[in-house]
Amino acid sequence: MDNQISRRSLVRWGAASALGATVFDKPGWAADSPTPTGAASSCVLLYMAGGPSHIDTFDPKPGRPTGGEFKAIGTSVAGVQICEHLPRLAGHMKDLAIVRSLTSKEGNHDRARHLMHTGYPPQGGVDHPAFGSIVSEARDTRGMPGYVSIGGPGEDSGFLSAAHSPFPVRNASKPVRYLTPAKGIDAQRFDARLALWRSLETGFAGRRGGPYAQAQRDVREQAVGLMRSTGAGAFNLDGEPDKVKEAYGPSDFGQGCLMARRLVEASVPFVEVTLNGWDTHEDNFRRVKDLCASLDTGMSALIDDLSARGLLASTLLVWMGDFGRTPRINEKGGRDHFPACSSVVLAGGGIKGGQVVGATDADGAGVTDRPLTVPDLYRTIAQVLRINADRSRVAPSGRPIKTVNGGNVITELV
Amino acid sequence: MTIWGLAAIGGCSAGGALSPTGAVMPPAPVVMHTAPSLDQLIEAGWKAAGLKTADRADDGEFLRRVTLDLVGRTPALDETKEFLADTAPNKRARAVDLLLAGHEYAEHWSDLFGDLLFGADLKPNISKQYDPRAWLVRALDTNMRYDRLAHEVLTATGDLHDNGALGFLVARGKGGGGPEAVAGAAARIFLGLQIQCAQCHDHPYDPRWKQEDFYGLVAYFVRTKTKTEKMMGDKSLVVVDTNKGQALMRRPRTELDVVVAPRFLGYAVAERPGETRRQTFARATLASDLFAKSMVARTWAQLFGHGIVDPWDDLGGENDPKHPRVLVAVADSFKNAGYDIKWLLKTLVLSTAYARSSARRPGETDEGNLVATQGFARAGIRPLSPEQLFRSLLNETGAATMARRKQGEEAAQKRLAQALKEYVFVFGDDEMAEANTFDGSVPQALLLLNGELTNNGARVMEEGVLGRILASSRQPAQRLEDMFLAAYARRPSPDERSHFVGFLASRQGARTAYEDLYFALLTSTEAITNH
Repeated sequence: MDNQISRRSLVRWGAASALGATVFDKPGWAADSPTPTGAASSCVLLYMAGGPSHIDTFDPKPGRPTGGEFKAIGTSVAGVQICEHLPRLAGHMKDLAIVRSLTSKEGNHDRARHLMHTGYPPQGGVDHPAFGSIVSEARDTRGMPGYVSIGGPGEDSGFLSAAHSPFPVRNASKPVRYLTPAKGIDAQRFDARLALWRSLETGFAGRRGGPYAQAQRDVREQAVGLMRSTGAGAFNLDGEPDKVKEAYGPSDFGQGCLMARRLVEASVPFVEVTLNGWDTHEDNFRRVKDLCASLDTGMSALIDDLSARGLLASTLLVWMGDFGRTPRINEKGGRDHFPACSSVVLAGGGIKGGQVVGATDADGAGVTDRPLTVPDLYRTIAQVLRINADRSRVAPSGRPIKTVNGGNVITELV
Repeated sequence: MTIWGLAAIGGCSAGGALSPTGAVMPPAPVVMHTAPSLDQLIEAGWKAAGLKTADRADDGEFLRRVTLDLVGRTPALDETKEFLADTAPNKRARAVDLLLAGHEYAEHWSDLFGDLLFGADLKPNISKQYDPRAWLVRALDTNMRYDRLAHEVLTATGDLHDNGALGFLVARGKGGGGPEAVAGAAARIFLGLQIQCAQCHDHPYDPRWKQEDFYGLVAYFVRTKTKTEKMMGDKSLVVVDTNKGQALMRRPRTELDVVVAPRFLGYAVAERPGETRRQTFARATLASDLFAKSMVARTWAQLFGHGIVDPWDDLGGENDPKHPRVLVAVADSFKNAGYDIKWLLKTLVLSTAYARSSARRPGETDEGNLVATQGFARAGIRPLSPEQLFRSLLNETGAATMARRKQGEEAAQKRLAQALKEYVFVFGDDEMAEANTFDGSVPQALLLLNGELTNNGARVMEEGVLGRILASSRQPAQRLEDMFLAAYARRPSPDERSHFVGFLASRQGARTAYEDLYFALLTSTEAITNH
């Protein structure tokens, strides 16, 4: 516990210290870099925590011993097959781009989730921000949080200000509480309390607080901004017609996808929705079948809904997880961690759908065509979202850190 | 993160081990003649590192910090007034003795030890059958020596209902992940080692630990079995040591399991006749110098907000040499004091490092302040744990008394338990945060701004703290002083006095004006942090 607290407080110290955020240049493009020209203003990351089996989702290997129990089915694009338990997404294949050749070395959950969220492997000395935090920093969000994480922790803002840490929503089916003043506190009293609180904070910052007090104050102001923002209602699904709620499916993940759509409409530039449970060391096929049901309904409803509202072109959807899973099926009917091959799916935001990029071998055991890295992926995402991938920030340790660590844009996608 | 301050302290030449208290185990609490040599070590370290030290914390600052650290809440208005008025020169030591003697100490530190031993996220798995925290509370109430506590935890057998010391084994093993999880947790907690990273392959960052070393520890726990027994319809869990069971290790990318014999950090420890493997492990653990060091390093981190070795559970490796003198000296003295936990706490909180103020030095930069804090020459600012924050708010508002008066004992208890749960939920790191910090800071701000405890607690009610303050004086300045003492354990500065008395006058001294001000005090950074 002590460790956690000190870790957390260090994050905050780092977050707002004079060596951190305050010396960064203002959000904008570095002069020496071409302005990226993407189409998307928002991103919805569908994060499959635990590591989804690539073979049992978007890279099926029918007829091979490694292929497992599931059949492959055709999609709306000739020649492209995916898992039989994703029938609705198969119907949306024209919108989807499947990358089957992502490869990395990080086979530990913590390290992999850091890599997949930040584009950097964890390393001592630099606390990398989540990409969602970078997007949050670059956008004016009109009082709304810039990075919302539904059903999972997301990844923290690292050396960026705590203001860009993910705003957590544990369960989309339950409205976020305390967005309105307590009973009996009218606007006048709320403002009076705020003014008194501000003067106490100024005094404390002068006597002891420094950057820590400043970070606390920033977060409180952010909370007040959220209460006053016109978009705060997006956190409550009560107003959605039953028909819409049903279309997203009964799962928490499905309802999270619905909240993601509402948040995108309310100017939140980065929303992460987590689907937990993909760490299927045992009983892989029963569990993945269930997970696919939630995924298939939620993700296709989101694509339909965004499309119907004319938002798909300006909203990038990214589906990914910790890593792929072993082709070998273990004695417990499970699959283990396999970072050598993972699938990633992109849609919307001007992504060229209806295609597969890269390939793995007949058993899904190695990349045979177009090996791609996480920096390649993030460089592409950055371009689509009009984020300068080469912008350099000085981390608290004094090291310059680029938004994206090398890599090349995956040109097939954009 | 720079650690030069620690390196410099490590390089200092002053002193050796703290003067031991002698062969006879002293009763607790112990005479403090060891403290000066700890202080000498610390001061020499500051000097060698060229650190500018903060002033000594004044009485209110000290009392607030030590009360939060030892009993998990801020001091009550009356306690603060009494302490400030006390003129005895040894009043700080007396206050520490008083805090350590009370039951609240056992409650608070059982939270800390409980999270450590049982794991916060494992709580629900065992509490259905039995809450091993009750055993911990008793152990702390009776000041069970740390070596005995560790021995009981490591070697416990029998029925979980009768022996709460089994909570560790059951929570880690049954609820968590078998003998591997038990061995990993035991090495972390009692030896300050993160050897569990070597479970699947050789340790990725620490070349000292091979996969065999980890499984050598696992072998001490594989012969311990749990079985469920039904007694008169009641299910109970029984733990026994058998003479069967092997630690099986599989090297990465192989299909063969290899049997690994018990080895303690690379050495074979001869088993004594009749000893179970766990008993051998406990004996070797208690004989290791890492045993006292890990307790001191962890306790230091708990009391100061960051470790003398950082993180505390990475001893002996590359992090260790940064600050060996102080750690070794306190660890030796702790051992000589008979592993007396209260002695350790008292020694640390009465040290000169703990007594530093968190005030900024005039003209000092944020970076300079941070550097001083890292070298323990200035107190840092730390968030409160959810339990600390909740208990403090109860104390500062009188919410518990108000609820009891209004709803009756039973309903109030239920309501408070519910409210605590919410604070733990919103302010705590939940299981999703295992990998990561769950930075729910905006939800925390919303709970403080718009939640019931702070809003109702700031109301003027007969049984509430603000109600009592207003009843005890008609003078706005006196009322203001009491509000500051209740929320901050200090009096308002002259500037604050004139500013806020002016505010109260501008609202004609209305009840709501006091409520609004008290609400702002309760929810301000000064009130919700330890500093």
